[in-house]
Amino acid sequence: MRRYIFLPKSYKQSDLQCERAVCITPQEVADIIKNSRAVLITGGVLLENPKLAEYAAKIAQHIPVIATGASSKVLLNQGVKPLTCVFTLQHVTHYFIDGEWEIAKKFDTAIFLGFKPYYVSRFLSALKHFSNMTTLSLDEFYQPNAHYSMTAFVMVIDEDRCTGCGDCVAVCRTMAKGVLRVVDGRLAVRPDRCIACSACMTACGMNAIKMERGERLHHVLLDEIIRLLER
Amino acid sequence: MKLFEFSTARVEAFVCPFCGALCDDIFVEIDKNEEIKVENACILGTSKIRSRNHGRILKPRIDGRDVDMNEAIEKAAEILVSAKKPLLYGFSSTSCEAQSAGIELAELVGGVVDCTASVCHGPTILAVQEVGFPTVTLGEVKNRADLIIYWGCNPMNAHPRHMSRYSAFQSGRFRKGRLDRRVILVDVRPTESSRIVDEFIQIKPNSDFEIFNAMRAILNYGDCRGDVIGGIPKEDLVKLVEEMKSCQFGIIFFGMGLTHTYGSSGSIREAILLTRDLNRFTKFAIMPMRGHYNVTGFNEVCTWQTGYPYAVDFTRGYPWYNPGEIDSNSLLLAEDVDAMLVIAADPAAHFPKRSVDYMKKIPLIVIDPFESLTSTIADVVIPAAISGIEVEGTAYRMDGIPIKLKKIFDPPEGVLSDEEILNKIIKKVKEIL
Repeated sequence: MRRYIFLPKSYKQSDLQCERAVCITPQEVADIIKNSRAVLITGGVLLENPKLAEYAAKIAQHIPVIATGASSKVLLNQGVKPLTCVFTLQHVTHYFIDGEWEIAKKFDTAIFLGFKPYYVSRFLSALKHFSNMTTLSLDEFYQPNAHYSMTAFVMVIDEDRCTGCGDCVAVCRTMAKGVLRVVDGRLAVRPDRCIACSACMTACGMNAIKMERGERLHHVLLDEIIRLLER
Repeated sequence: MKLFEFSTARVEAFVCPFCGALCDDIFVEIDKNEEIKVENACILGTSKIRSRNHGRILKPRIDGRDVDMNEAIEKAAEILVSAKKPLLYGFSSTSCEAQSAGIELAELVGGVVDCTASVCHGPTILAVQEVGFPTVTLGEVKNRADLIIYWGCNPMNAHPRHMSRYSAFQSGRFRKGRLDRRVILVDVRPTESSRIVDEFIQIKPNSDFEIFNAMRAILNYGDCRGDVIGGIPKEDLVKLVEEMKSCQFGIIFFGMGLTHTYGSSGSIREAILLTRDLNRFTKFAIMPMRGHYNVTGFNEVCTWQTGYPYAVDFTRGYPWYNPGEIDSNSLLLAEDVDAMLVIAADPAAHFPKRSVDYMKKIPLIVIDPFESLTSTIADVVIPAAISGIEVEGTAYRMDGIPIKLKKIFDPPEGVLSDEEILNKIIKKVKEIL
């Protein structure tokens, strides 16, 4: 059995200091979408990435969409009608914080897909501090300023191969204690302290640890979310 | 089952009674619902601690029917006394105290006492008796070794925590972890361990003696005959010897790959002689990777009690040592024993078929916590508590360091420890004699 551990790897120094988002699994994303009044906010990356636009359209079958940054174009092509498509993300964020916008009043959770990470980060920060919205990022990179963030940076532990020998624990380069531990003969990881240096992966003689990252993994995760939503 | 003393217990520095590495940094936590959490131990140790109730023998048996403890002990004593030459075998997975009692029993009944080393690291002992043993403790390896050679062993599988606790990955006083050390693996095929070493040298099977001999020649005379020795080009061998000469502190760990190939004790003797020669240039040591957690302990206990490390015959009234003639398999194959007592071992699973066939014919007594192949063919089965988990005791690590075993659980109702059972048999035997 393979165990996925989502690593919150930040890309900016300033983001290291903020209160960090919780890394969530596809199952948890599906649960949040099903059990809250969620809205999908899409960004301009959908124009560059047609595959991502397809995923957005599939998720839009379950929740309403607010399209920003001309992403409405690709969504309309796929037969999705956004609630609004005239505002930029900056405007939308202002309206959410303001709370007087009719559309904003309907929702309590904002799900972001298709943004440049450094761009959406600021707005997530604003929403976290000045509004009551719960924010969730579905993009490839970890967003520490969101409440929940998906990340396409995963440590995969092969439970059948792991012998609990502790070689990875001995070579772990993190200064914090207890990032890796062997509990009940299996590797236990504290993802929030992991610096994703891959030292454990190279030390493992059983090939039980793998690091996976990138667009392909991101698509696998989005596929899983859609599968769970349609179930 | 009743918990040991506390309703929620946390045992620190628990000693894992599984393999010869005898890790003593294990944490075991037991909560009120008997949920056991084991920290730091590998999968082997964790399974041993957590699944102690699986396949347990709880009642003594004679010929398959349940009897009470005294009856079983009486029957065992009768078998041992009436036999002309009983064989007492096993002792590797029990404490030194029980081993001591076992040797006393063998002397009383005039039998042969042998441990699992006779099918394991026996050749190592023979070689050590011939040429001595330049060895160190694992603590020294951890703190000083900068060249670690694993020869004919696969520590990732057999001793999973050996590398992370004592050698390659551990940082010590003078070595800061893996990058300060060079690790070489010599084996006949790539294994899990070969993935994490700096250099993997693949040799031809059964060519260890040849290679050690050539290395000694290169070390002492600068050259050896032949261009390819045991599948290794001579230049590589010269490079390896240079590396061994130029390190600050080197160690060779060897396993079954050396003991159970052609020339077994001969190859080990050459390895020891090479180590001895290397000590003219630098500090070098050699150590066997002992398997069971207390097989080293039996050799130590037996040596101080009888003068010999294993395969000791008491039929003459005094200890007689001649492995090859009086080790378990030779005796069983020659049909030279007429009763057998197996304690804390499973020979039926590991001995040759002809030996096992003969074991079926003679009266067989088994003292073991768990059902095994041997217990299924036994005439008398006596359940025992698990040493190191349900009974305290002493065990010797692979480098000969005695470590006190701890107890976390009480044994099941009516189940005695190996030591108590053997002492009861001794008492009974003394009454009969």
